[in-house]
Amino acid sequence: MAASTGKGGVTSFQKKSRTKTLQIPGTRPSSQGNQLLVSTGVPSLDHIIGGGIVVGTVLLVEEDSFGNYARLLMKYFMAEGIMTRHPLLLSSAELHPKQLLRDLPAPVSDDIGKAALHQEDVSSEKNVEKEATMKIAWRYQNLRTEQPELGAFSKFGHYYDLSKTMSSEMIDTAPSRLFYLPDELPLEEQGMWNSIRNPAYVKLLQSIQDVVREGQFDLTVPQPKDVSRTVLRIGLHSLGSPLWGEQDGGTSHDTSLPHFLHALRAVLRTSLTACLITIPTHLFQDMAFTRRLEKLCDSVIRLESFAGSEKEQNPAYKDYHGLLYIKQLSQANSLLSYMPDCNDFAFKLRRKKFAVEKLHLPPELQDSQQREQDDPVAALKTPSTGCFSTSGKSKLDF
Amino acid sequence: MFTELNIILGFDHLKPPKGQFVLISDSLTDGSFLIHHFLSLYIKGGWKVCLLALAQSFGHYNAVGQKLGVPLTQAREKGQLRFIDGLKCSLQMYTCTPQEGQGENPLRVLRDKKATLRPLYDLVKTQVCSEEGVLDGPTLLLVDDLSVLVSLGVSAKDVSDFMHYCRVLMCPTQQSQGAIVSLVHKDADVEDEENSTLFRHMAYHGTVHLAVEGLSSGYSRDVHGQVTVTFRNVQDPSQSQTRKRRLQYKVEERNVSFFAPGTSRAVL
Repeated sequence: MAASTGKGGVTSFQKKSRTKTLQIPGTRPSSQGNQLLVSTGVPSLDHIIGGGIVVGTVLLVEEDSFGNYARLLMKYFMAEGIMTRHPLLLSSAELHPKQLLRDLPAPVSDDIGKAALHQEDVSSEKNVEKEATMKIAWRYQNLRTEQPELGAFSKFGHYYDLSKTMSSEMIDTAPSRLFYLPDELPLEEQGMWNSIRNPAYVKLLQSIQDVVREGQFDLTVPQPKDVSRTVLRIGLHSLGSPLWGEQDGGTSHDTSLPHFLHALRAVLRTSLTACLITIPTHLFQDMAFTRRLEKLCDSVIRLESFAGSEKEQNPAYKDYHGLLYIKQLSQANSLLSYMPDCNDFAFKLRRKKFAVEKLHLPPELQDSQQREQDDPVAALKTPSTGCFSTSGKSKLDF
Repeated sequence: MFTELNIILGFDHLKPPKGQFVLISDSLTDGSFLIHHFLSLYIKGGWKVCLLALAQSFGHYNAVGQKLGVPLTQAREKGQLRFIDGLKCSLQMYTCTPQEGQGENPLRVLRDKKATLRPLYDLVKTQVCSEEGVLDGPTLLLVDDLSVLVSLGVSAKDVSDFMHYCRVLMCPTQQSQGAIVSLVHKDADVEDEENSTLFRHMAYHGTVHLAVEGLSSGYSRDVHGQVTVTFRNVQDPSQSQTRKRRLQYKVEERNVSFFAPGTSRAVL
């Protein structure tokens, strides 16, 4: 058996890769092998959208009614960027981006511990191994121990603890650019729509373009080989809310936001960026407008929280805090998008963790109803999965 | 290029048909795999192709083209493929200041309410025709997609005027040299007036209509949807006006397989 203490692998077998993929810490290639993915910060969400956000595309999160869970997803996205040392660009109109950044979830302690104590661990492990000689697997005696992780920042997908906040030194040392609408655009100019375009969106797109150009994320500009490349994370919180100047609830005749998304796609496709946008689509009266926005983004998920609705009391949903719908998945650079097994997902927010799971009904509720009409579990069993919800069931009320 | 679809459509993959206006419409799903099908079919058939790309970048078509065996970068260098980058024009229009002016941008209509899509038509004409102003050999105009223009604020009337002019240029009769393939979104569950008006206009132009939609029974991992092919018979009034075929499909990494409804490999 050819054992080799080569460049750090256990065997000398090197997989021959035909394409030269960029090696960027914090990213990984997709299952098809030709696209780079970055993590959203929530590993269960990464799993259901096909591994992560494809670099060069937009993940649109349609907000729930109070916006809490969408804001939480944005915080996870930013926290993941800090852990993987990706530069951030965060924009917000309502609360100052600094406030959003101050309140990020702290990573679970072994991840930072490993990075800090990496040097001491390696040397101590080596000493321990020398003493214990192997009796049975003596062929493996000369091999090095398993390569310790390069560091927390090259891992894909970290776990976070919501009960603690990330230390401020970590946040302050991370490269970030903040866009707070009232600072960038004085209040007088915001309401003026003398052209077809909303000046707030134009300003935002210009600052995105500036950051892409200065930070050398642009793929069309050739870079020298020794410059290490990284991915820019763009988070646009609560775009399209009335604070951005969206008038009359987004009717179909309003083209400022669709044009912004189209131009944003042009910028993102030729640069190393991944973008997460949250839009409060529940404020838009016209479904057609929402549909147009969805078509101009690559992946779309919608959050529906139970807070304040009648579903909160429904015993079938008692383990969860809301539902998550996948409306569209990215088809950029490939013929097919990732196809999940099913489309019934729910999320729950525990004290320390936010997780997304497949929705499954409890096998039996404690007190089952006498009449089938009142039974909430039976009501949920009508097929409402998939692209269409064909509920043709008519109830006869007596 | 999907061979099963070619057989159903009656298109010969060695000699793609002339004078056809293919309209692709999709409802609640994504029909853009058909765009890649026609792109690879006509490039392999040796036609000149003008791709008006409003929805995706060149890298996207190239990446899919490589999987289907059609190297688009080489076709572009040789001149067989003329690519009009709609994303770049739209970005330029969005960020340029009024002082700079719109210059030669074909999508001037996005800023200037009084303009139409005339500059875009002129650009297509220069790409497709020779100096005399007639078609230079068999040429295909591929538009991906028209609903993006509607979302960006162009009225359905302007878009249908543009397509009318293109049709007169490329394939006014079944014997002309050119062909057009275009894609329109037509979601069944929302009431999008502009898109439905546009679709209705386009339906009268089209000789072949491919309607892509999801299954009526819901989401399935093995059968991704169904395609209804409608042939409009404008030539021969004695025969029945339209002929319909329905197929189900499944999108895979390098191919899309089409089969008769109910004969999916997962079911049989």
